[in-house]
Amino acid sequence: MIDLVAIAGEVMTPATLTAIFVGTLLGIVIGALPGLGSVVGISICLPFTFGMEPVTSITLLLGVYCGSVYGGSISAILINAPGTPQAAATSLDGHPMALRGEAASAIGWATAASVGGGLISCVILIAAAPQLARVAVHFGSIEIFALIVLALTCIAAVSSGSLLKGLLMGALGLFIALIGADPVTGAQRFTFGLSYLSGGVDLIAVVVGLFALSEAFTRVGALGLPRGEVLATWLKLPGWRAWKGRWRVLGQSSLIGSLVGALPGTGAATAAFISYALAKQTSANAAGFGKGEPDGIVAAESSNNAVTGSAMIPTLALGIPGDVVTAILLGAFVIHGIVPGVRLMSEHADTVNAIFMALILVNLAMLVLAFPVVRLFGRLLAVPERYILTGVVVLSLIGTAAVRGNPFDPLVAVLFGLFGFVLRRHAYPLAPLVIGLVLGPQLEASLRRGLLIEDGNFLAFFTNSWISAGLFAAAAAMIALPHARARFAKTAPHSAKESTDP
Amino acid sequence: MRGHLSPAVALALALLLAGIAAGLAAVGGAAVSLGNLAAQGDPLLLPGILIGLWIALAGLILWREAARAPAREAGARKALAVIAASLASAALIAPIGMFLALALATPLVLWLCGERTAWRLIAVSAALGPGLWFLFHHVFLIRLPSLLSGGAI
Repeated sequence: MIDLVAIAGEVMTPATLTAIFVGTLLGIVIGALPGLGSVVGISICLPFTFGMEPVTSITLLLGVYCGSVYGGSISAILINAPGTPQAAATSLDGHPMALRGEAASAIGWATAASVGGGLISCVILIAAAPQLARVAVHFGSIEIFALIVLALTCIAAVSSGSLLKGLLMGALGLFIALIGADPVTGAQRFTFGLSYLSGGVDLIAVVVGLFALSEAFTRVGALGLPRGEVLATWLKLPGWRAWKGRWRVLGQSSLIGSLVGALPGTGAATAAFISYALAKQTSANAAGFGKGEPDGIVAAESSNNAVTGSAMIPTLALGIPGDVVTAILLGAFVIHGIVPGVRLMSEHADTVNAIFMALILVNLAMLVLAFPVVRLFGRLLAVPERYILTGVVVLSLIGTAAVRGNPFDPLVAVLFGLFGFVLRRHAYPLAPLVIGLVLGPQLEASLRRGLLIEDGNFLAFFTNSWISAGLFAAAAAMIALPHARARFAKTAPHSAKESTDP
Repeated sequence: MRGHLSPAVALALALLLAGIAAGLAAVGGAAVSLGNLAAQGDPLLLPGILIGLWIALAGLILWREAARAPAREAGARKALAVIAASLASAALIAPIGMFLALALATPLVLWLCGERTAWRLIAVSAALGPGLWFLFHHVFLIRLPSLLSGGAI
């Protein structure tokens, strides 16, 4: 039985309520500024949550996450420059509406749909995660090992760039996670006598470097691109009557977003485009799509915000992050001494339930905080990008130094920033690297425990448990399917041509 | 451009060489110190598997990248200059403290990003560098690496 009073007691503290307010506001601002996005926002904020209570810390990061996904729609509608990739589908109908002089209504639709989608996904998260966790709690070391292998192959397979590069990044992330003292024998691995490395590579420094700094370095090369004119500085929420016939679009798109969000590596941008395409086929107002139809905004925004809640399902129930954002959130758990995994929900039920409630409050806070941000958007956009990028660099250095007070952490962050910058330029996906980094210690622990149980027989991982065998088979399929599909695509037109030949 | 190593190939080659170096360190024993010998398990079991995977994947990527035409690189020079400034600043934090490192690096990064108006350069640098340092170090009391043992700067 869930103790609602205890959960409310944990969430309704001044610190957590401030975290909801500040995190959501920061998120909307970061999302609204073209170029910065959810990952950069969370990466910059992560070091500063170190001294907070776990629930307060996760709440602040969730606020940044949800706020930034919504915030991207503001710039997408007002200046046709989506602040985040997730909001690209929103600009298809949002900006034409703004050009027609209905910018305030367009932002109103985006706000209402974002909050609606976010809340629906919260309900799905609260219903689904405990059920999944109940099954997963019976997983042993072998099954956990297989689950992590599957998660990494899924993310490598669906990440941008090639599968090989994704797999290499996953392997590199796992390897970096194993640098330092061996948890069983205490032997120092790959430290080469450097005392700095004996405790392992600092997760925060790597995350800040790979995502915040490398993004800033990448954007420095594209400085000076002109920004569009702001078409409105207010928002008007749609009335109940305007929703007539649009509830179905909201429900269907939120469900698609929730489903896509729960799958590893897919993300909000994919969900938004799938929902947009489906709404275009099924909506009664299909003819207006692309010309400023509110249904298009509702489909895209409810779907991309529904991802925020459902992406937490595998994260909280299985301890497996589905994307970079949830990997960083799991990193925040690790920083606070909470070990992610299949027992996260059973061993830290209060914390997880408090996170559920905080997520609902974050979505409601968006509704309130959208008004001031839209009013300030014109001024925000007037801040030159060079100031923002310099600010990102300075905050990254301060943030990494602040966590442990170790002056070498900023150096590690900049080195990983350089590494991330080079990897980005050559289309190496960074998501598998950071997910490998977060899951590495858990993967090693489950492998070694499993080998101990099976007397060192690795074959038993495939033969002694049908669950692990199924998970390994799914991982193999994830690697084989893209190749099979590419081969089929190459041969299909050829064979079709052959078959039509007389 | 014949005979030139494209950046994509160079990166793949560097990743492969790093993997081989890690593998050699593991095989040669330089990568691991003696731990608790009574404890069961090989500390290099998973790292060994991962290094093998790393070398194989980097080799395949190198082979693929070498077969492709080199891509044009744009806007890299400015980014590399900002990276160098950030790196120098991060390296200076240990010997001279966060305040001075930021006070030196912030105007430099801002200038590299294209700020050429003197008063704006000074004002924004002061706000973003020493200003943020002051906020976190003295207002939020988050202890940042300092030059003086008392922590004033």
